[in-house]
Amino acid sequence: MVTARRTSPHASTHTVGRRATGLSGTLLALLALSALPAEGQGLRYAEDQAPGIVNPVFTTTMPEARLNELIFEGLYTDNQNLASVPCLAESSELSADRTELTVRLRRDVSWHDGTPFTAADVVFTIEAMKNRGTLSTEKGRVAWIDKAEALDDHTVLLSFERAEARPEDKLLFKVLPAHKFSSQAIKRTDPFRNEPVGTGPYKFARYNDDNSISLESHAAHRDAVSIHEIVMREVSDKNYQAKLLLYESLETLVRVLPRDLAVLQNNRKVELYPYQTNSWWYLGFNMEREPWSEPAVREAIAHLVDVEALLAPIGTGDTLTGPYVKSSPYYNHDVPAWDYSTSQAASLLESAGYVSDNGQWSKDGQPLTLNITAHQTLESSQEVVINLQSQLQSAGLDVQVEFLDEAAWKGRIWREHDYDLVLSQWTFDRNEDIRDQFHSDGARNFGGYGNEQVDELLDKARDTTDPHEKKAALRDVHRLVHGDTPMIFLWTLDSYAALSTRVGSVVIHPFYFFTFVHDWNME
Amino acid sequence: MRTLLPAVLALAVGCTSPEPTAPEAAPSPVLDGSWVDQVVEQPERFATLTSGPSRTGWIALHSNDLSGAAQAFTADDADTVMGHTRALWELAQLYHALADAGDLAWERSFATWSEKSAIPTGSALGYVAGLAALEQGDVEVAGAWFRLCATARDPQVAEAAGLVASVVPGTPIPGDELPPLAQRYNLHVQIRDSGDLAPLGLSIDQPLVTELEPRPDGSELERSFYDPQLLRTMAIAYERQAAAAAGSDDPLSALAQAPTDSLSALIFGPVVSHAELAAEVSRAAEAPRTLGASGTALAALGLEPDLPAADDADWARAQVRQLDAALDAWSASAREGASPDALALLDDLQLVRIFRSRVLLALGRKALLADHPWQALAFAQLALDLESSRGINHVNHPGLRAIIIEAQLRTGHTREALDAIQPLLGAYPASTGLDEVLGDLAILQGLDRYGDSKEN
Repeated sequence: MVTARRTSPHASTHTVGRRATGLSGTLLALLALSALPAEGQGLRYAEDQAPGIVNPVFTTTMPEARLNELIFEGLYTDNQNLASVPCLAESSELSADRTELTVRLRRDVSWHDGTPFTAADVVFTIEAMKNRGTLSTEKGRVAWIDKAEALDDHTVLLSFERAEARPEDKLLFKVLPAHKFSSQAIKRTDPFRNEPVGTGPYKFARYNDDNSISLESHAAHRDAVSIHEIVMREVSDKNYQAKLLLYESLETLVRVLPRDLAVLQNNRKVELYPYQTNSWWYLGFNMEREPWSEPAVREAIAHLVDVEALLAPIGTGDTLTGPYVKSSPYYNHDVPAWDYSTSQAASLLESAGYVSDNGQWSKDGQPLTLNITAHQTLESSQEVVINLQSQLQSAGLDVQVEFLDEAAWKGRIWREHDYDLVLSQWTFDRNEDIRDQFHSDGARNFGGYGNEQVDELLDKARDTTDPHEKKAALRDVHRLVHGDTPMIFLWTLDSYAALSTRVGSVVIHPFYFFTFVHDWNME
Repeated sequence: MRTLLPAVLALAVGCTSPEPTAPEAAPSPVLDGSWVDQVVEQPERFATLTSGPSRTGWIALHSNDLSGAAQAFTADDADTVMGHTRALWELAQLYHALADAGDLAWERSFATWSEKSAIPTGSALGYVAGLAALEQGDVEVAGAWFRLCATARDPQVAEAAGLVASVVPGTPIPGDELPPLAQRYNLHVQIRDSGDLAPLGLSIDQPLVTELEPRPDGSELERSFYDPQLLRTMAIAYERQAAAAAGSDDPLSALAQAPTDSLSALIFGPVVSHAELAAEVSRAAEAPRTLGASGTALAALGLEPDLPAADDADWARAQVRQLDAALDAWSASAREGASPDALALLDDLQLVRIFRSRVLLALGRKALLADHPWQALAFAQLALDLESSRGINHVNHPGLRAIIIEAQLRTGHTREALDAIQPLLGAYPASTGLDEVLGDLAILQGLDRYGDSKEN
């Protein structure tokens, strides 16, 4: 039933006029609480939307990444001090020239369906991610591996394109079960997406009628867990998530709205956990589509967006001028924000051949029309988009808005590039690697941005081991990307998780969230 | 009584958060007789204190503007002297905490640089790394770094390295015609001796060394290295200034000898009473930064007197819940029958929240000194007012940030430490160097990793 909902073309978009649909859904979610596990039986956490697909090879969103962390494992993982430690690997040995790594695998690991985990699974995963037919959004994670070879059932030899100093630090990608796929060219539509099988501490149990996903502890896992059931609840209206936590109908919110912080902080049955997500909001142009391929037009739009006014209703945060949060060592504090200036915008539009007639911009008799697309569950996105629409319309643009669900978003934005301007958010781990978003070959560069100088700087930043050289290169990227305006960089918000005080021994991974869940317990 | 309110409310700028959920516990005497209780019960004493010549000093101290408070307490009455001493002493503790984090960050940064990358030849890096090692008392490691400077492109770097290596740490380099870097080294010795920060000038947010390194492609890479001695020098200087303000080599003892009819030694602090303060000062001779972390008042609040052997964050969180329950109960009982003015004081000045924050600050420092960074992190993070989490205010003491920075560093969360320092950069520009070295360390630690990113 879930698959049908996700793939239904009729369910893929909704307009502002149908906003009430989302609220009704939330009320229904509240009424449906009786469908949840009874208190004490498991841990329930909320996501704005259920993951569109459960397959680590195609992960593009944080809800998917969090769910993957419960179900799947990598050869290595982070420990609580964020150092790489063996997970599915038992040990490894690097060759003298640092171009080969022999990885010995644990022998006490089985897949959730009981099949033994072997070296063939590791080789399959690497080759599948590299396979051009897979179209993996995660292919960059294995691009540095030239060859993977199973020496025996529990030993893998990895060969690299160049010498690697600490290759185990890159072996955190999730391993897939070879026996569940018929080809190395994995498809998004493979049945695996709805029947995921991993080696992680939790195994997929069922999709529920309310779009929640139930996981059960994997009895054969080497680490005994204290919490035997985890339920991912879809609560699409974020305004209700805090209420559900306060009503003890959830145990975990992975990200709290800024405006809910005070009430949660003052409630003695809830504890807040700050965690670092290097996240920033942006408006991204489709640079493959006219007129957004014209720099003057993009810059004009940047001058027409009053970022502070858009931010004010949704909470406190830092406004940004580039693709890093302000605490980043790569943030270039010398880059000024675009002035909010209708006169500068007018000059730029006129230079691009537009004329203003009765306050409406047009070119060759065609009005300047902009379609703004947002993910329907991005927190507070409706508020931002409506205010943005108002700002741009009052400046003389014809502006339409639309909100897409997860399936439509992946289809329209990622695959078909069918949009003018998107409102979205990127979240980065502590490396803040923007190569995928801004390199012309980047797997996440769906806007079609390309700048040879930026490519060279990103290559230099990737290759150098000198922190000052890397910092200088990426601060230059910040400056260039700001000037090219493939995106209008908006803001970053603080990230806090909220958990019931019934949940103990909580340590949250700053990106994957559930990495240390096997240590958590519940009263 | 009503006439007191304008003076009182003027302190309450920005204090608008709702009070915590009302507790169900029975009335509690835990803060009876405390400075919080005295302010509520005898607001005229508070009005007297804050309407005098040092009014702006108390306003600054209430809002944790430590530098502002240190400058604003200029009169010579006993209460002003007390306020001045406290502001300077708190500044000293803050800079000591930042310097502790800095020592760790500089050491790890240069060690990781050596491990993962090539130390740039001809650079002043070795000189700065040598100074950082000296700050930690490691003369041998310092000497090894200084020897690397023999081939420095800038001759004054090589000369300064040789000169610093030739003297006993903490003593000045003799001579009149010293290179600027050696003069700067002597400046630290001088300031640590005199407590006078004026010779440092206004450039405390600027690098110690900026150099241009020729690159193979003909370009030049600009490198900046900040002064690893600066934060400790400022800490020691403020200690000396606190002693001078108190008229005693031991400013804490001077605080303990404050007249018991005055609030000035206690107000906005973690110690509830003068008797408690005397006991704390006696104990704090060994660990002055944990003042307020082990008093009998904390035991009355139901907190454990000692840290457990294991660094268990859940224990710290349970302690905070206990503290909250006790304070909620006391607040509820104090509000019963309280006058409107008393309620206004409690709500607008947020005295209980301030007391809670200071207690958690002291407990966080105690946990860090015991090498329990996870507990320190829990205490400090739970102390923060999240509505103003990016700033310093009456609840968000800058010392909480310093605890978080060091605790995050100790637990391997360098990127998070970098985030924690941001609110300090404006008010405490000397922390700019720590920000930069944390950035270098975060980059170095991530060199071999694949960076992940996702939507939403």
